[in-house]
Amino acid sequence: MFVVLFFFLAVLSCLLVRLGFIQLFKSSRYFSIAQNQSRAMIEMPPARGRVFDSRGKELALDVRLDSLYAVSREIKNKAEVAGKLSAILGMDRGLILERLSRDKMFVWIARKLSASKVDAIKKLKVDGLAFVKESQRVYPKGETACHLVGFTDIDNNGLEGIEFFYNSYLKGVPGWRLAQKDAKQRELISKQLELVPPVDGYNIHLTIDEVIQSLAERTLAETCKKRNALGGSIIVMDPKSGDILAAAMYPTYDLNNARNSKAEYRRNRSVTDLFEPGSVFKVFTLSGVLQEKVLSLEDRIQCEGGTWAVAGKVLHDVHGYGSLTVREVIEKSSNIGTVKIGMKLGASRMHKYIKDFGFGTRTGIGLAGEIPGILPHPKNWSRSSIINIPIGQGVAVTPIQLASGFGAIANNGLLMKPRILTHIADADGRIIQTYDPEPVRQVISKETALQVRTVLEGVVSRGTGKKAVVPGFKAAGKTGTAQKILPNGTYSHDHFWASFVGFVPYDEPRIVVAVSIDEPHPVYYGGEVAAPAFSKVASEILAYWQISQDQVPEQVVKNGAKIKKVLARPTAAPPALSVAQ
Amino acid sequence: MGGPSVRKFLTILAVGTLASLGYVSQEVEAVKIGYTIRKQEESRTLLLDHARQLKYNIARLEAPNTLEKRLTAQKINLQSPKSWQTLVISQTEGRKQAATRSFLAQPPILSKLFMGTAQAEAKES
Repeated sequence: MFVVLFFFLAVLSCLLVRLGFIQLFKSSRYFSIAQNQSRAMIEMPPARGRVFDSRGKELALDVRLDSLYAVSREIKNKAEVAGKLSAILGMDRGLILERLSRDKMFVWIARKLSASKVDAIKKLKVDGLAFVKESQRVYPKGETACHLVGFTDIDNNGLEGIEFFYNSYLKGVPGWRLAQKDAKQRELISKQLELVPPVDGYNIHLTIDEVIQSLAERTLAETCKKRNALGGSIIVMDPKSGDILAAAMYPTYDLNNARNSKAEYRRNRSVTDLFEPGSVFKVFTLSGVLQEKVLSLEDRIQCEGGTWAVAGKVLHDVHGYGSLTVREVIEKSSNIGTVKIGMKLGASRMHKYIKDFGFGTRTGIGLAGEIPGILPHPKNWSRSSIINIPIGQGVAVTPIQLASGFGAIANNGLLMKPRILTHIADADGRIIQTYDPEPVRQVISKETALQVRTVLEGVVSRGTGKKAVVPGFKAAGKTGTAQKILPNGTYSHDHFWASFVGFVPYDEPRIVVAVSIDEPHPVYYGGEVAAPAFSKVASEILAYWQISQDQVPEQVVKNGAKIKKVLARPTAAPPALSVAQ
Repeated sequence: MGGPSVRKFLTILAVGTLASLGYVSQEVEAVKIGYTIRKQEESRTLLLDHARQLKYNIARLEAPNTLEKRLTAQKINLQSPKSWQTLVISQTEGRKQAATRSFLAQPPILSKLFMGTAQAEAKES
């Protein structure tokens, strides 16, 4: 009896000693093991902000898709599983097998899968395969505004365009929670220990209009294909606010499949393409001359019959002219005449006006990769600069600078900073930051701007830009055909930039449209290649906005009888005329 | 002396036991509710995911270039109206009269209360 009691007491003592030892010396270790088993730190990813156009149409948003991972230790027949997964995922079997063979608790197999693939994998019922939700950036408009919107990588970090430039606003801040788990590893909400909620990314609201963007992109693609061009851009801008309503570039690429596109297709030509503007630049020379009252529009210039030797160079005009008024010099785009009026203005004043119109500096539009262009200081001008620069040679500009400069003329001489964002808002619609229209400077007086506008109207109605006519409206603009510079520094005779920049309606300009086409051939004149694109885009935008026509178009006059009927019965839809009210 | 203290002890024991049972039952209930909340949260997340995908589909289908491609595929050759084909009628007397005529052509307000609109009827069917 005593022996039994002693035995039990001895065992009990041993247990107590062991318990004491564990409690005193091992408790922290076991406590930590227990906590690891029962607690989990769960990351809470934020939703990336969306990108909207000016009418609230979504251009970029997130959807959540399943990603497949494996707990490779739990998978028994790895070769067989790899074979089945390979058939479903369309991935290399060897690659999958290599991943499954890693002795790890977590190995990615494939990320962001389609619903059909997920269903097929779930049907395999393989232990050790599981899914986790990940957000995938998608672009419902595909190629529309691809160069502006940009795209993200697989981890949702912006790589191009707005996605890249405003990544810090869009990406949000991840949150986390520390939670207690039960034996089956289910989270116990009632035992939530700590919570730091995620902050969703902010939504970005652009100035572009999806419809105008599509109209511009379609016309640009048609023009580039028809004229065998390498590429091009069309920028549509509101001259009063500086809002970019569309920035179309060609070639385009599908944002949902951006990784398979060529890098050169992704270039945002509106801010990265640098070219000598050619004759469109004559407008800025004229603006300086009129502002400084060096000459009036009716003063006459001798255009030397089309050939003029000056400063060691021989200048040519496409057509030979004798004496022309300053107005006619621009309307007919005479190089000789423009150089002569530019020389009267002088180097320093010309440089001042060109700089004031925004050339040689970044516009600050807020797009990745914007370059300032090239505008040499008069100190660095060569002997021939005073001959080149007035006609748009020896300087290099971007399409956005051209649109912006013409915007100043359309806006009574006031240069506006081009604006691509209206505001940034949080997920609940609260405004985080606004981007108000920003005047840069008054470059020329209102009176001078109106004078220049009359000349530009003449370019369209009588001069080189006749194909830019917008039926029903008075339009104004300037053509440009610039030789490209070859790698050896000489001007090419086969490679050109064709451009047309203009605005409409003439009296109260609502849009500035800048068309630049890179290397069209065999026809390469701005008046032949770019002006019709201006006309088409401008016509479609004005019809889309239902802006009252300020002229009775010729066709309407011909159909006068029908018009009378339409006006008598405004609700009826006549066969030949659609009535927008 | 022993009687009241035993009763007191038993009362305290009973109250203590009941309180403990109540506490345990509340804890179990909280865990159960937690499971339900988690399940509902998961289904809410799934529905939100689905809604997002549908939103994406709608935005994709509404995209002007998608519409154009579909029309081209179906060989429906629509063109934007030329500006000379589009007349914007300003607020003229004729338009005001037309607006008045169209207002008068509508059924009286009271009768609207007893009539379904075409849209409402279409929805019901």
